[in-house]
Amino acid sequence: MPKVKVARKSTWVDMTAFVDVSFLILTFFILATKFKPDEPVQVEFPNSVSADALPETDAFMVTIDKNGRVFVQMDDPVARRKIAENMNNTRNLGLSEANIKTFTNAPSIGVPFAGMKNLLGMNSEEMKNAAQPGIPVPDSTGGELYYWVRDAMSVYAGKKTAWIIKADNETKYPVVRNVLEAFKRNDLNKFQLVTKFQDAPIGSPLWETRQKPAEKK
Amino acid sequence: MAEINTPEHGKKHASKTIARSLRVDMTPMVDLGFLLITFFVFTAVVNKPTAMKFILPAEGDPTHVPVTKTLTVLLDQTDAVCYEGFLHDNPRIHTVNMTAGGNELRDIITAKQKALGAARISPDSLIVVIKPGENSNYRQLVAVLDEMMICDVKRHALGNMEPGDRNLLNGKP
Repeated sequence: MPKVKVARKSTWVDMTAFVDVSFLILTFFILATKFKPDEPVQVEFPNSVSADALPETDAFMVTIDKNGRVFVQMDDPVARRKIAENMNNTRNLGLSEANIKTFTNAPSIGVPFAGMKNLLGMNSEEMKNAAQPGIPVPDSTGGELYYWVRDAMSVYAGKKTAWIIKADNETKYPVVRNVLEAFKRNDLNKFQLVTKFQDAPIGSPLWETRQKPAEKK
Repeated sequence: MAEINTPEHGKKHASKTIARSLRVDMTPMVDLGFLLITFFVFTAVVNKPTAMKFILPAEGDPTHVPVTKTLTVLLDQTDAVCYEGFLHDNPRIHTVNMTAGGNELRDIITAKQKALGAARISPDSLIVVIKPGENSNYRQLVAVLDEMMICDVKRHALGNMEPGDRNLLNGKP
């Protein structure tokens, strides 16, 4: 019986294809990553069963931290510039062109109108550490937030704007009510509340509707 | 896995261009690639925040609500007080705990829906009035709004407390 010859093979594996794939995936993740914007306050928002995505364009977000400080945030730099110019003219804030530019790049603002020039005069590092007292919303008149909302409405006029409220679990209800009042006085009644998704409890009516296969609407 | 490239023909031809292997060891590159992938996967935000739609009643004349279809929920610091109908009719008052994440409120709402169904009234016509107190916090408000979604309550509204409601909250055991 002849001996079976086993051919000696090199153990070398060509890694090129592997490298290609790994870098392709890497590129995907780098491009898909969106960095979290700097936020002056940490807000822990509540859970809900709502599964809708948070709108990200044309959004005006009011953040309320657990001490009741109110901040505003807008996604669009163009809109931010417009609202700053608008406010500067109507309320004599005395902002310079440089201040407005800072505002355009600022992540969120939580100071009364009177303190805006001071805050926007800082560089970004100082601004991050500056204590912001929050926009005054003292009572059901809506305080200064009323004017913010009004100006935002005029800036976003003609667009489908999302009015987003992001509040902390521990925020006291009276503050929330005052913020809602600021919107209400501008005839805005529809909001999006920022929440964390959790599943509907098993056996509840919502759970049953979600269990059904998607029907045509 | 690394390979050492050695001249193939010994020292005699050292002056000639040495024929080197064109193969490059790609293993460290793969390592690096996957290390970076791992980094990006771990830093990526997994749970994106969701949005809950919330609609306030428009300004205008107060809407009249029928007694039989109304359920009022008063929110206090840690618990909620519910009653059916109106306070001046001395309704049955339930106190439910909101902190533990229990189903007490859900049970009351579903019981009410069933009762409406038994009386041949559409359960969808149930109106829940939410009245958060001064001591309540945002978590409770969202929790109650969440119950509305879970129990499929079609009509609910946020209202302000009336003196009677306040007395009820203050006087509860």
